[in-house]
Amino acid sequence: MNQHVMNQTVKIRQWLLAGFVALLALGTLSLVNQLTAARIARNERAWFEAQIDAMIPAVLHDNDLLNDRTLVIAPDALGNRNPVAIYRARLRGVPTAAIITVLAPGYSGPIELLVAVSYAGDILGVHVTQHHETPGMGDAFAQPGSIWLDTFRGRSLTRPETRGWNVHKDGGEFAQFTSATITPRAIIHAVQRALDYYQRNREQLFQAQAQP
Amino acid sequence: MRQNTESLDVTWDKPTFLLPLYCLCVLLASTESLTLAIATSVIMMVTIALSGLLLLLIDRLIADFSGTILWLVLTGAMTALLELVLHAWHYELYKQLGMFLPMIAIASLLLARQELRTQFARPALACGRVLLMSAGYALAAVVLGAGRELVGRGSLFNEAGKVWGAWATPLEMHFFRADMGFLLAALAPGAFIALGLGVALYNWLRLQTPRP
Repeated sequence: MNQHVMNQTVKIRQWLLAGFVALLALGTLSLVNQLTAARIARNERAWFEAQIDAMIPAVLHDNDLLNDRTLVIAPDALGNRNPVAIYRARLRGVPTAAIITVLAPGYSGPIELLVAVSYAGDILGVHVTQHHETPGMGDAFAQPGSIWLDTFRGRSLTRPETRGWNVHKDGGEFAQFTSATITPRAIIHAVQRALDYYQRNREQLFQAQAQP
Repeated sequence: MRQNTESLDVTWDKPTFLLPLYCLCVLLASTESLTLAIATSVIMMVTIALSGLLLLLIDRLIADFSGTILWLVLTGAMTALLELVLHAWHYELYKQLGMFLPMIAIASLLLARQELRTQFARPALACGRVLLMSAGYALAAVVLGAGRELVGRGSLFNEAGKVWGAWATPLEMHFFRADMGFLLAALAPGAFIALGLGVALYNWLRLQTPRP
């Protein structure tokens, strides 16, 4: 056998070996993926449920909120060009509250908010689920139990009137937090838009088919 | 089959000088708090140990030409594996690390590879060096993380219970209430300043100790 042919066989054997190792990696990965998929889904669900439980009291609903959702596209009102989820809470089939996902244009990228509204249109709670604001400053609103976000509770489109939906600096009724106005302003207006959207589309939202 | 390159081998084809920069990036990003710094150090050490073993195996089996491609496949697989495992079993940590998780994984894989490649003839020595390097990284990360968290937030092990699990809750310490004033330490520029101060301190200490 000459040198060239021998080199070829070595090369082919190496590639086969490489292919085998790659397949092994692929197999391991898909196995782990399958093993973890259920747990990951449970984690995501548990996290979301904790958010919801903090906003909508258990006595207000007996349905599975996470699966009773409808997808809407409302770029102007909800700040998102993609379909966003609206979760519906019902007690014995009667609508009691809804959770609206809305994006606020933050200082550095969108801030994702969950706004929980009672059927009548009062805010039950506002949560930040994702943001890219300056760390540290984000603590002022993104931490669970943020005092600032609590000031939204019990408000509605008419409480305060339209002009009041602003930070103090702009003549509104909401505090800005330490030296920052862009973030609170964006959040306040996003919540107001969500409320307005809810008011205009309420019946439609509750009647729509659930889209899991 | 492979040359033992102990000389300076920084060339245009092998831009190894980029590796320290990349690792620096990871180090500065992951030391915002002591909790995160320790978590990333542990992740880094585990990844380095695992990838070191794998690389040794592969290098024994496969020559250069398919080795690089295979290394890419394995890097991808290990990074994905790490993400899946953390997503399933350390959800909170996974959420906090976000996009830094793959960066940490790739940095440690690159480190292990560089060491093993240059010291291929002596795998034991290479492994020792890699382990020492990751220990050094861990030390730097812990010092930086503790310093930045203490100055920036006035706490140590902030959210340790949330990130690591309930057993770590007693570790959380809050010394003073830091508001926006100390924010700089928690931000990226603070990381550079802290690193600079750390290096200065190190140099000063080294000058203090009389040389034999």
